[in-house]
Amino acid sequence: MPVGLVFRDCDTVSPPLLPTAADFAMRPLLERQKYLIDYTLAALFRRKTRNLGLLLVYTLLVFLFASVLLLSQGLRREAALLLQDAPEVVVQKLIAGRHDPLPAAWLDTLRRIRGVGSARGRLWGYYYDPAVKANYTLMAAPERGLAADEIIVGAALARIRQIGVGDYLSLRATDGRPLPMKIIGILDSASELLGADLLLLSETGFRQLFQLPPAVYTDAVLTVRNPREASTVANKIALALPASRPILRAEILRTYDAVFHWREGMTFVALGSLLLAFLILAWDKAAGLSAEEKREIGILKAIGWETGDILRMKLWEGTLLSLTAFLAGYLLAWWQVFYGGARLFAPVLKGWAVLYPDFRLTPAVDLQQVLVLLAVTVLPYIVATLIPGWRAAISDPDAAMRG
Amino acid sequence: MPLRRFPHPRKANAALTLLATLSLLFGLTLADSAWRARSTNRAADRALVRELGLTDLSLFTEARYTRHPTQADRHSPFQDHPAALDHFPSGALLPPPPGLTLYSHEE
Amino acid sequence: MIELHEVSKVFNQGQPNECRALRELSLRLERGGITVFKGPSGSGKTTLLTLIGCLARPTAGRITLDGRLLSNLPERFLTEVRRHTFGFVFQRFNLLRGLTVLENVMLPAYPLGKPYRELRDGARALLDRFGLGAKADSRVEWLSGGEAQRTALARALINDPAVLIADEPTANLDSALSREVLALLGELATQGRTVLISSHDPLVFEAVQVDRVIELHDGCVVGDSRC
Repeated sequence: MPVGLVFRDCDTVSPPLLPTAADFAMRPLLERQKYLIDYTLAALFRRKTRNLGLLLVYTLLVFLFASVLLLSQGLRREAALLLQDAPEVVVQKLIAGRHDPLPAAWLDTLRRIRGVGSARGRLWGYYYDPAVKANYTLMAAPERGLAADEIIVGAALARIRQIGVGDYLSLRATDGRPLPMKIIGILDSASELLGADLLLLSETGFRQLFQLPPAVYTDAVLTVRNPREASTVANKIALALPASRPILRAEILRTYDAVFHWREGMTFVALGSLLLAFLILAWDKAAGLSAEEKREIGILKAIGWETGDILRMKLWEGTLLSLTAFLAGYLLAWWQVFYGGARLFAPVLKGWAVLYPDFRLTPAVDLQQVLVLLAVTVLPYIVATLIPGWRAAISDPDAAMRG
Repeated sequence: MPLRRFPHPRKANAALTLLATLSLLFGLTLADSAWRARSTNRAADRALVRELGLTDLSLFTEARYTRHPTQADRHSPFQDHPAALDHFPSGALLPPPPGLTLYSHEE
Repeated sequence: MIELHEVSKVFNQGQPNECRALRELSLRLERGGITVFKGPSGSGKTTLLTLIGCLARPTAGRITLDGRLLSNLPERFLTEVRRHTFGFVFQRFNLLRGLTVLENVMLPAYPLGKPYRELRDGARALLDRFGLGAKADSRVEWLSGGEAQRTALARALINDPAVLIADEPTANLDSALSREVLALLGELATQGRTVLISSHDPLVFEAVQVDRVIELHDGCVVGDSRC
């Protein structure tokens, strides 16, 4: 039996009335905090439905924010890593503001510009498949050695048409003729992010399908001798071929670096209003100490709790709830973005598209952004619980006597 | 002392265990990210990019300017007005080509 | 030994509703035994107990505990004195709803940070002693008046205080339960604790266990008898 709790016998010496130095000695720190957690949990569990509901909404909120954050970080990094081998310069021909086939003679002009390493014409375009109402990206792939009636398709395309190697896919040529194409391969790409909707054909096949004259290309891709002079080269191209539009790799990368940056405002405005609504709810819940809670703080002080103990207890209340919600929401977001294929965002990402890549993003974390998310979700709630607790805690404890 | 029924697990221990577990998982996500960033092999994908001269991710296939935002006509995202909202949800995620918003050699 | 020297307590000082609860009251309370403060409501009994128990500070005058002046101690030290020296049983029990009987009894010891097992077993031992062992894990809302009073008593004793302060301990009990509580308090007094009670219940100040009755009226001592 613990010494402090033995009922005193008449013959024992009464202890001193005043506390001794030993009473002020460092008390076991962890044990004290655990007692405060015990109390705050018991208090939270009294309004079980309400507090669990709050935890749930809080978790959902963090989940949504963290999902947007992680998805955009993942996509941005994936794009940056995959597209670092994109063409250094793409040259298009514009007519009346529109992309137009580029004459093969331009390739020679381009090759003669100082600083240009090589130039080759690309053949690519879009094809609408009425059978599944999907857009494909068609591309001539001269290096694959395809025959005129052979194609290689992207994985998402094969999935939606339910076709495989050896099957035939009938394409409708520009003059209305059906062109049966034999599938001799499916793009084996670990991530479908690049080629989900691709349909690769031979150059002959491409020209046949679109009735394209032999001396034109869709656009031209260049290599530049000195990558640092790419923009000088682009200026020279614009001078030599006034109808051209050169696009630099730096611009391509910049485009994807801005994924979720530009009008992500829209997403965040929607989420922001949600955050605001939650803050009001949380503030109301945490800040509005009920008369009962104030009375309880008075009782705690009367039975020997210090103002500091009450504040620490309130701090634990805020921390436990908001940190649990943050971590749970973040982990759920992590799981759904990087292991669940970001299914939650599929409706937004898919939009009106029929073809959608089935991709697994490689996790990418910007710790700084995670910390910002932590700060904006966790800190306000802690402050909202602490301030009213502090106001109630500095009152005199004799209120408890008066009831 | 009379026989007690089996005591409940202490609340604080349960809560701290939960927090510790969640924190551990959080740490694991960081480790996972670091590890997979190094172990993911993109060689095949990058070879495809080099071979075909790919310029865009095949994320949004609904329109030319969302499938190939870097290659699209300067005017296609803005059929009506430069500040008009997009028809497509993906327009909310993807900005217009930088040439339209930043200083570039085209100007 | 507790000494009060010309202690006054004024509420809402300087305002129209100013109220002088205690007027230059002087008193010596020895160690041990049961002392009852009797008097009509508004006579200052409860105020006196809050001052002695370090729940509030006097407006004027000095209070000493074993010769040490309490009136000028900083709050932190006052709290330390309070939880070390005094145990409180409040008029309306002031148990915390939604918590179990056991948790309520353990509460005053939480800031001390004793090992959990030690504290829990100690609290259970106290509850067993008061015949509440079987109720330890039920919520306090479900207790009867007598059980609530004994729980409050157990809570007051968890830190093993030298002085037990009980404000109208029989106000919410019938006479049988009142006698039971008085017997318990008498037992505590014989074990060496100082018990201070405020009451206007004749059952209390006429009880055999009581050693001293101090009568208050309008914040002044008007009678002091030893039994």
